[in-house]
Amino acid sequence: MDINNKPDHIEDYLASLHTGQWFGWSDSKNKIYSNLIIHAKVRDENNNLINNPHSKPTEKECTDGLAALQKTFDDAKTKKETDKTSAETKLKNLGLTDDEIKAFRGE
Amino acid sequence: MAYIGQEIKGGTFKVLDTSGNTYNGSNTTFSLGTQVGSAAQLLVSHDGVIQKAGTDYTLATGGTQITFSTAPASGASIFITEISGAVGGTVTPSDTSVTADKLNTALLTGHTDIGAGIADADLFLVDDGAGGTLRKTAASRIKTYAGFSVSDITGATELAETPADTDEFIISDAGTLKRIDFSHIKGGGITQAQQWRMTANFNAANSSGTTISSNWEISDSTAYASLGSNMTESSGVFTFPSTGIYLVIFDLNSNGGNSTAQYQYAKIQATTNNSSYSNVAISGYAIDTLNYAASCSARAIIDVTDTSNVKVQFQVQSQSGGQNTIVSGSSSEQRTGVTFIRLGDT
Repeated sequence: MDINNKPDHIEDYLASLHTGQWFGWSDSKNKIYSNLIIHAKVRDENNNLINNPHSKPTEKECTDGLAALQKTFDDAKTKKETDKTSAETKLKNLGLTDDEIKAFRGE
Repeated sequence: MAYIGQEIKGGTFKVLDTSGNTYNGSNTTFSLGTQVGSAAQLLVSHDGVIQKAGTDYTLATGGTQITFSTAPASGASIFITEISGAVGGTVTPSDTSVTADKLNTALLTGHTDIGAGIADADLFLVDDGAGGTLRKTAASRIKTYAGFSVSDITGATELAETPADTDEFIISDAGTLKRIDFSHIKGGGITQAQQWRMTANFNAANSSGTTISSNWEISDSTAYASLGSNMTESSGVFTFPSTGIYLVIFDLNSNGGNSTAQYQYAKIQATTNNSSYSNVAISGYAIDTLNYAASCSARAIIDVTDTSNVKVQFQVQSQSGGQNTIVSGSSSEQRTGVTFIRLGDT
């Protein structure tokens, strides 16, 4: 994820896919799909080591999954801005001043 | 035996055994069978004629032989009487002739004790260079020789490495010099420090605690360096390289909150039997849409008395009502990771 918490790497998609440490990297300095490894053992919710029930997703699944996460993030961000603007408009229509709206927003 | 006048008070008076000497008209020097300091100490009769010291005969080989000015003829009748020391006078040994056996211990014990500390000007006898020549030396010279100067340190060979535990030092124990092994004084410095970190993100499931059992690596960030031997890790269990008291710091870094507040805890667990683990440190935080990145740090001091049985592992405990948080890992910088510092001996 980038500094704004937006997914920016297939690792973000992989982490969202399943819980726990089910994957890793053969070269952690070069996190590309070809270096993606699936661990043989993982911890279950009771902290027991069990066989990893998860398999390696395809590279397309990873890139598509990352794109979907980014779209979800962007959509949520856009919706948040839209809702904010809409709320301010409605508040003004109710007769609130800009200062009152800022105070209401805690600014 | 009665004497007229002064009696004999010291000295040696005896006829020397010269029976081994062969007179043949050629040989001039013969053994005396003893050592004398002066030719005048001998009364020499040659065929009934008293010989004159220094003229008719002299001493040779440090006074152990006599040399006649004229070789005694074959069958000559010669007897020699030793008269060492003057009658009634002072016995004067020849130079270097007094041996150790001739000295009495009273030479030391018979004297009055000095009754005070040695002064610089006090004199001692010394065998100069062990060459047999006695010389005097002032106490000040002995003090300089036996004393400890800075050149004794600067002139010595450098060890150039950490001393072994059994290497010895000199210490003043309340005024008494004693030796002490390095093992007793080597403490005080940090001898082991190291950082490990988790290299990949993972989605922390709701649980009472999940051990981070994979994706560990030793830090190799820019300017990173470690001290001492490395920790070893297997399936998330860390083994210490040596016994000692260690400070263990577990930093947990997460992001990815949603509208529902979530709580996450970093837990350090320790075992003393390599089997059952207990929480020894817990730290936590809340994460939500307003705080989508958070971190906490759990710290514990571990007394590693046995490296086979005292070990640690690290857990993430998540409690959330919706989306699970993403525990942040990296191979570039320390995000979620552990620091081990050995503070001293157990």
